Order: sequence, then C-alpha cells, then structure tokens
Amino acid sequence: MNNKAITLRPRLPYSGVRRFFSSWRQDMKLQFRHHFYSAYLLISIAYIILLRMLPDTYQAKLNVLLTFSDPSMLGFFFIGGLILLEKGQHIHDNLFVTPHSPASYIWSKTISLTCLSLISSLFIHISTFGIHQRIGAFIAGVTLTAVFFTLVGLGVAVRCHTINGFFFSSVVYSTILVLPVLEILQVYTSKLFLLFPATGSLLLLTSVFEPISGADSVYAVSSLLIWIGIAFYWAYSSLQSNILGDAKGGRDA
Amino acid sequence: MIEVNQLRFKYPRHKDFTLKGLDFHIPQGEIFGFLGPSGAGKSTTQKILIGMLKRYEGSVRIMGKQLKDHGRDYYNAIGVAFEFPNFYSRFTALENLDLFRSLYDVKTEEPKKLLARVSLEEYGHMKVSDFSKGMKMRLNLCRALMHRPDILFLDEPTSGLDPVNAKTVKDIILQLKSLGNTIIITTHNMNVAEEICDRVAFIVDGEIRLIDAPRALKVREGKKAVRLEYREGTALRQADYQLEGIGDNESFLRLLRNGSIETIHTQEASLDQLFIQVTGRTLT
Repeated sequence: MNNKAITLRPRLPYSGVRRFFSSWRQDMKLQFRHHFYSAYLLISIAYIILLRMLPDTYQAKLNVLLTFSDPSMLGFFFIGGLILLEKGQHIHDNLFVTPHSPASYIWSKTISLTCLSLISSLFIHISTFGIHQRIGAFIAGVTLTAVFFTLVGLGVAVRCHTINGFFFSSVVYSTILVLPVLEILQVYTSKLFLLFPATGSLLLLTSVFEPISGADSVYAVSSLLIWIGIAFYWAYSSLQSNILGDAKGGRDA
Repeated sequence: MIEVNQLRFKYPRHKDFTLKGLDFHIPQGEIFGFLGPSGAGKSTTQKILIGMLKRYEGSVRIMGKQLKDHGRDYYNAIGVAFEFPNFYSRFTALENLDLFRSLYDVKTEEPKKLLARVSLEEYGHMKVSDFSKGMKMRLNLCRALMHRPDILFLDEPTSGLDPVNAKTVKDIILQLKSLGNTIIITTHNMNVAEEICDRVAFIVDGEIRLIDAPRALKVREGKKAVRLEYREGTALRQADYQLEGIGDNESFLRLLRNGSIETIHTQEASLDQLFIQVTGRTLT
C-alpha cells in the first residue's frame, strides 16, 4: 500500500473567489439553458412596444411600475423555479458535499438572477428613454430591489415542495412586500410604508425622473441594504433547515 | 484514518436512537464495508462521516481531527457517490463534471480522462437526461473521484450495473486502494463486500454486531468440512467430510482415487448465511 500523507491538501490560490465566480457562471449557464434569457428578451420587447405606444406623460410612471414589478422582481419567481428544479433533481446533497458553502450558493444564485434583472431593465429603460445622467440611480434601484426579492424568493422556495405550493406562498409574500405601490398609484398612503423595502426601491426608481434629496437617497439605499441583510439571514436559515437537513438532524456547516 | 467511538444519533422527533453507540476504526488504505438491511443505520452512519448530520453524540476523528472541527476544506479530501446518481439533467455529462469540478479548491482530474476510465468517453456530450441508470452510476463515480479524494464514500457502487461495468468499478476501487486511498462502501450486496472489502461491519438496529475480514468471518463461522458430489453408476451422490483427519479418511480417499468426483466445495459460511446467523435478519 502507498502510505501517502493524510493531511488536507493545500488549496489553489484564490480558490474561494475562483469558486464563487465559477458558480456564478454555472448558474447563468443553467438559466440560459432553461431559456430564462430568451423568455425575458421577448418580455422586454413587449414592454418596450407598450411603453412607446403610451403618451410621454405616462411613460415615466409606467416605467417605474413595470421595472419594479417585473424585471426587478423576476428573481423572486425565477429563484423558486431554480430551487424547485434542483430539489426535483435531488442535486443539493451532491452540491453540498463539495467545498461550495451555503452562503456562496445563495449569493451566486442571487447575483446571477440580478444580472438578468439588470440587463432586462436597462434594455427596456434605455430603449425608451436613452442613456442619461440619472442612470446610476436606476441601476442602484434595480440591483438592490432584485437582490432583496431574489433572497426572499429563495427563502420561500426552499420551504416549498411543489411549484403550486411556491406560487401560493409567493402570492402571500409578494402582496405584502409590494404594498407601497399603493402610494405610487395614489390609492393609499401611510407612514408605515417607510418601513417597507419597496418604498426604498420605488424612491430610487422614481428619482430617475423626479430628483430626490440626498437624505432620501441615503434612506432608500440604507433601507434596502438593511432589508437585504435581513433577507439574507432568513434565506440562509431557511436553506439550513430545509435543504441541508437541520430539521432532520442535519448539518450546520 | 477514521476513528469512531460511542457514536449515537437520534433524529428529531424520533423516540429511539438510530445509532446506539458505534465503535469502529478504519485505517488508511482499507476498503471497509457497512452491511445491513434498510433502516439499520448504514446511511445515517455515512451521513455523519460525510458531515451531513452534525448533531451526533460521541467521537468521530477523521484524518487526526474531530469531524466537528473540520471546515468545508474537508470536502476537498473526501469523495461521495450517493446511491441515487443525480445530476443537472439538461447539462451534458461533461458540463456536469465541469460544474462540480469548479466547486473544488484543489487540483482536479481532466473530466474526459475520468469518463474514459468508466467507458463513457463517447457520451461526454450527451445530456444526462438521456443516460441509462448504469451510465449515471458510472458518471456518479467520476464525480466522486474528480478531485482525487483521500477518502471515498460509495453507496451501493455497483447497483444497476451490468457484470462488465460492475467489474470495471470494482477494479477502480481496488486500484484506488493500492494508491493508499481509504474507501467506505455501504451496501446490501454481499458479493461486492466479499470480493473487495478488507473488513465488513454488520449493522442492525443501530448497532454493529460484528466486524472482521470477510474471509476470517466465513472460515471462523463456517463448517470445517468439504462436500463432494460424485457419480455412482448413473446416480449423482453427495457426501460431507470433516477437514480434520481427512487425509486418513478411507472413504474420501477412495472417492478421490476412483475419479467419480464431479465437484468439491469447502463448507465455509457465506456472508449471507453469516449475516442471518448473527443478526437474525435478512439483507432486504
């Protein structure tokens, strides 16, 4: 018998970073293979046509609502599809007997779907309004909103066993989370909406057309970052208990 | 390599312990088999050893360190092939191997070379959804080997394989052992255990009833006798002879001399028989 050393082998340089980017690339490839990108190309074209058909006075408000409710929130629904697909193919056990950590898994999925949100939103926005000075606020709004909703979608999806179960739960979660839209639609206003992450999202997206104060910008970004932190913690705990088997006496690594 | 002492485990909301105080040591370079019926605790033991179940009691030392103290680096050193070979079905075999390969922090094997080892080189660009169970099982082994693990955990490694591919898999396992790798096999299949395991443990109801080399068990627990089948005229006859003093047994020597013997078999116990004898259970 070859009596070789039994210590852990040295890791390749920057292995954590390399693994994360590789996982991100693989997630995007998986989304591409499942036609997420072609589906959103068609949807984006449909939105562009719709926006161009509207009078100029409605374009801005509709762009804000469309961007918030669809491309920014697409991660919420698509992450459900991805997680349930992986659950159906029983792939998680195999993924987590590699050095791939649950946190890295969550972020690579979240960032890859955020890329899709951003590409789709920018395609719609630039096709309608062109490139302008406030595009940075738009990108920040879409990115932070997409990250938040994808994390929440992941937390919901890992608790569900079927697509139907996911859609039922997602209606409950998304209805509550998008309540501040009522204010934009001038249906209902409340100071409590300031506590909702969607208020920050809508503020940033609206600021593209109606500049907001520095304090409002700080509030919007800070609120979304805090909510992202909460959503990540919730998604992480949900993954631990529902996928990694903590509820069944599972692991905590 | 692996030292387990007083390992106990209870699933949440279960009244009884699934593992009731297991003790075993597996040295480096050994092929060790866990044998037992469904629900005996084999898979739970494997899940603990691969870090999937953490809330156990007792001591599990692997590579000189408590398992609980290993970080995710541990997965660079172990390879796992689960019983059910699950992959991304819309990806090809090579795409799947590339994906899993990218998750390791150490040098990995070239996926095409691995596919060639299990005779799948022609199917690298085929989607896994079009693979048969046997092909997936071989791909499963490739995935477990791609980062050259020191310890390999294989659950029913020859399940669903035809005899030729089963032999290929067994040869790969034996080759890995010759390179100093430690291999832990969980199986119902006594033939696999007899052929390749250095030692086996019988697990029943969360307890290890017996641990030893398959040959030693068979010889120790079997009858020390031979059974002959021979022709007498046109009739087929059978006779058993004790090994002790067989060289002076006239009846046996006469049969040897007259050339009527068709078969001779020693009467050591098979692992199947032994398992039933020790545990009172069958391996189903």
